[in-house]
Amino acid sequence: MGIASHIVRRLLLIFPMLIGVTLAIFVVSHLVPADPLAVILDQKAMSNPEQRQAAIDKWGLDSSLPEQYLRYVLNLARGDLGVSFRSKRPVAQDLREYLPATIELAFSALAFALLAGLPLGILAALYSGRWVDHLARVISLLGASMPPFWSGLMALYVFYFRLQVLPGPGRISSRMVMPETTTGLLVVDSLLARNGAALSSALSHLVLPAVILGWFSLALIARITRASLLEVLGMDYIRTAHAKGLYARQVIVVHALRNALIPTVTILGLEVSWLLAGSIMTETIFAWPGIGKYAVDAARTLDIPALMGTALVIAVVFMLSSLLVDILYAVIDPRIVEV
Amino acid sequence: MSDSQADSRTPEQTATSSRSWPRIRSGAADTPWRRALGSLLRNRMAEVGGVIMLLWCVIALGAPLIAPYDPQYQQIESRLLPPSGEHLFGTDELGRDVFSRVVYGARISIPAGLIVVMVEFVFGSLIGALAGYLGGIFDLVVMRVADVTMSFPPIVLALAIAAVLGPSLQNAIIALILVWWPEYARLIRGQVLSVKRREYVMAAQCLGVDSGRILFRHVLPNVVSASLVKASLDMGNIILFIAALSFIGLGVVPPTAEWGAMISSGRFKFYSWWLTAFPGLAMLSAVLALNFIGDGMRDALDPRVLDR
Repeated sequence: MGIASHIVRRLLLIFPMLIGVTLAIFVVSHLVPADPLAVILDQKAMSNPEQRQAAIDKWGLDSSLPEQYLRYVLNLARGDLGVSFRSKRPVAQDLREYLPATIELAFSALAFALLAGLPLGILAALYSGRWVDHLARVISLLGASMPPFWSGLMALYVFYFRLQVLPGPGRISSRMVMPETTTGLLVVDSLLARNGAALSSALSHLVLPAVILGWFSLALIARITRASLLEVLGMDYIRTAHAKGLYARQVIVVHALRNALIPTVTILGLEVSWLLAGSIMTETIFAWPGIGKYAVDAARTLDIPALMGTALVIAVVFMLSSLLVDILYAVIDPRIVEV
Repeated sequence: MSDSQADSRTPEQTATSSRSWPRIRSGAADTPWRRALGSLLRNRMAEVGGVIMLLWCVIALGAPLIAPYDPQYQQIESRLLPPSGEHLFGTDELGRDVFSRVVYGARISIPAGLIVVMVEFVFGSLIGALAGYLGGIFDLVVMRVADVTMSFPPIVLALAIAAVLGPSLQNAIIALILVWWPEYARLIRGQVLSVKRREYVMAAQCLGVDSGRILFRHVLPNVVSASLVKASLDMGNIILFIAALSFIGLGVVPPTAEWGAMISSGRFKFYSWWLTAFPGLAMLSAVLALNFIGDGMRDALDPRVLDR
């Protein structure tokens, strides 16, 4: 089987998976032990007979469950995720507004994880068994063991409250004039508006949440880079390169790293989706107005349309990034398509 | 050797020993499981983890004897006191002793984590083993359900289920079990698929042994090690997830002393840092210890080590 047919087959698998994911969301939202209308309408709308009837008609609540599911999927296909109880606006519109903040945070976290994780992993492999290696191990163990909501609070306590070197929760200082919204990414918008003060405030507000969110990915990137570089360094062609009389730096940078970084690069796709999921706790701590905080606020207030809409969007992003990684693997290592 | 012991061996092993071939002197005691246990006990990190977890178990069991105050006892006049000789970890906004609450918190987090891991380990492994062994429509349905569940990040689905079911520890536990079992099912299914074509399984089938007996006596004991490693590594994660749900307000509800809920009630009270610092440190020490044990078990039960 060729790579092209492997990719087509994987792309076709998306459709049954999408049906499964929407079905799961549909089932979970029907777990509420109450009137199904309570899942769609807030209390005020519930007491209005006209609004009740409109919702029953729109979501087909007087029909059978399979029909209701079909209606739900058709509404989804039109981009209709329902109306949020809290904001009284369409969930899709809310998500469009909150998503850029999450994207900005997730990519900053990824940049931090890469900038710190790659050198750490490389050094840990080159000095295996030495103190750098032990440091990398401690960092990755702490990354896996520290609850992000606690480490976030502790980081705020130390750097914001005690040392006062970094700002507190939020995306930008409340005293700052917000730059005009173009992309929704504050850093980019500040740059476009040539607003240096806003840019500096936005960047300094990003530091703590990005470090806390990116820590887990940093640990993973360092671990994978270390393991893969150690494996490559033991191979014959590296010995040959050394035997040819190349400088150690040349052997590592030109010969070893190029192959060793393949696994690291391929997991980046998955990391982005994990960071989106991880943003749920980080955004809650840092009052970051992204979809993670939106989901938590929705869960707290039982704003089911908002919660399920966010879960669906995150699941779809998660699924697409796994697909991307899968395809990337097939392109980099064609052997896997033969399996 | 008793009948039950004889049954637990594969037909291959039974055939080999009945021929009375000369045995290697250390062979009788040196089974892969024994080797794994020996390796685990020799692992310094796992040892440290084991001691810390033992300590936490003792603390959880002996909480009424260790805690100097009732965790719910409120003394408004001594609220938000910093750590001192009288209150080792200070007091909270209702004047409750934080040390006593941290001690009692172990009674929630550790058993809850254990329950989730045990249920998903048993349930997931069983479903996965049946799917792998039986194949057909059962396998198809189970694996598609697993695929769909695993296409959600665990925290997102757990959040949705816990929110819909309502805030309580019981519902948080149910949410986590529903979210996590497919990982075990998929792991065991893959292992069963590779083992069920082995000669000793086929030999048992030829001998007319019924499917249930083959699965539970011959197949499962040979594939369970990967799930055990996963369970040991997951336990810390589960404790973090339960705490996260409680932190959000969807797990343990006040006034019960639970680490995640305690951190939540102390958040942003920077002048009273002890409200969040100590429950967090307690959780960190327990999860770190469990990860040490998990890492040790992974090294000890690695199939490459077992086959050595």
